[in-house]
Amino acid sequence: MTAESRCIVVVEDEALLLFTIADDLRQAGFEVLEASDAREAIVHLERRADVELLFTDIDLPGSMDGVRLSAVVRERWPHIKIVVTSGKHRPDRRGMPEGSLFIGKPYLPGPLARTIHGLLP
Amino acid sequence: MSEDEARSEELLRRIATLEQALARSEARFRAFTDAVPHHVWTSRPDGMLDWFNPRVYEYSGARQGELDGEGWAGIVHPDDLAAAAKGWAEALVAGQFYQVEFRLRRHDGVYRHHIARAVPIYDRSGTLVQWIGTNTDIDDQMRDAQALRQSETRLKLAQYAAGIASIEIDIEAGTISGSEAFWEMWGLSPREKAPLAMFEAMVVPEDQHLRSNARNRADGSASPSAEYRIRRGDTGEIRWLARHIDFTRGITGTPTRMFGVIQDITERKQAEARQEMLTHELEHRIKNILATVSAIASKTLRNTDLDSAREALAERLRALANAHDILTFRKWTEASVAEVVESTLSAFAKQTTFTGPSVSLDPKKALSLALAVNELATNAQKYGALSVEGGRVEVLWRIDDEAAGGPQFTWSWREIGGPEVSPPTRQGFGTFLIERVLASDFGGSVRIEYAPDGVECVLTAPSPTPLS
Repeated sequence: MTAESRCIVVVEDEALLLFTIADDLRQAGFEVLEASDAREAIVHLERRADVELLFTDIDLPGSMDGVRLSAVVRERWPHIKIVVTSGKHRPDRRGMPEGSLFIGKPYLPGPLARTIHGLLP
Repeated sequence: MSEDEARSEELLRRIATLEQALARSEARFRAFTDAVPHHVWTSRPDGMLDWFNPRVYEYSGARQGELDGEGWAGIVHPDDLAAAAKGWAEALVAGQFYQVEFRLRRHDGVYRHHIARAVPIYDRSGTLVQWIGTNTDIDDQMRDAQALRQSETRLKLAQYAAGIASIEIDIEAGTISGSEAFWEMWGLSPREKAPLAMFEAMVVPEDQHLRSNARNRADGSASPSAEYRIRRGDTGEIRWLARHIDFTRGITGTPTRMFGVIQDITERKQAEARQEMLTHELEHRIKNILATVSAIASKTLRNTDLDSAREALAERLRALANAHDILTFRKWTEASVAEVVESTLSAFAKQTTFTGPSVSLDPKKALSLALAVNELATNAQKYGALSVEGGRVEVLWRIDDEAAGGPQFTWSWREIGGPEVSPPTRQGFGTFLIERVLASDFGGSVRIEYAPDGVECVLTAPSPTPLS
């Protein structure tokens, strides 16, 4: 991890998947904040002003799913890039927050890390 | 010639004329009764039958004279005889038209239904002189009528069993009539007919375009099959109906009536929706499993040689598969702690004991615990209590209802009688899985102690209460 390691938030309710991808992304050089639901993700975003990207599952427990979380992030933190993932079908255009990217499950850590690098300025 | 002689001669001539007339009448009667397909018979005023036309003998196979008097009773079905005799006796007393139904035995022994009728013949002075009777074979008609009744009953039963109602629409009048099931289907009380507009208003707004309308009924272009939702008249419940119709046309070819069937297909529609939901759910679940397998593989393959990784991965997938078996058996609702522990430790049944109350886990916790137990068992088999003959493992769990902050679940793994333990030199998948994943999935904390006399692992978490 370098001094310029970029900060991202990963939201996934399956702990095994969350910790695995978080560790993989850390190894790829990112600073990763883990969240298992939308509420935890928003807490991270409110505390840290340097978060540059949100990587979230669409199916999340609780009242806010990944699509609604993305919409909130798009409105409150418009500079944050958004990548959404799901085991289900890709949502149609209206279901996706503007400017966000979709990656289907299961994803590979290498290509995901490269995609995230590519999105950050 | 005297006056007397002349009168006598005149009388004789008139008698001769009368006799000739009588003979002609008699001949006509015989010719007629020979020609008709019916049985014809005559009876004396006292009810003793004295003549039968050839049809009777042909039918019954009786010899001449055999049916005379009360002999006819011999070809009447025994079960019908009492009623026939009673009716005949009453007719004789009243001297009035007689009609009765009975079965008559044919020459081959087969009984066929007949209707017998008899009329009394009176002379000029009003004295009953004779009865003339006929028997008409109604067996075929009765059979047809019965077949028709049966056919109608069968149709009704079939419609009832299939939940089908029949309908008929008078296009010009704009009215509809239907079987009892039809009214029931729409949640209305049965009546003879009702205006179509009443039914059209019950079709839900979204499906209004699917039903027939005045225009396409009048020109006969209404679709023969349609499916739409209605709001039932009584309960307001939304139901799916399917109707199939055909047109009856007048002489000019103009549609006059529509007739057909209508069926409640709500259950089928619900099953279709369930099927679709299940397909999506299955797809989601498969993707999730693949994601889990992918994460396990990724973690397993890191920092290890390929041979160890191959074995470890196979073990981990087996533990995952075991947990899936339990969950599939439970229709993915829940699994008990005991089931998960027992199934995962089945290879070490002789060296393991487990005790605890009945605690249900949701699928996520069950999978997580299965994977954690597998890691502990694999480690114990390599380095711990399960690597030696006298070693054993105790798995205990309990729910502490008195704990501050709500009921608490404590689950522990303790190894006894194994070789001396030294802490692992690096953090492997097992530690990752137990300390981070298991703790997170249960929303609690995990402590692993590498005590010299045996590994101990304790999970402390809020009591798992799966969504039911």
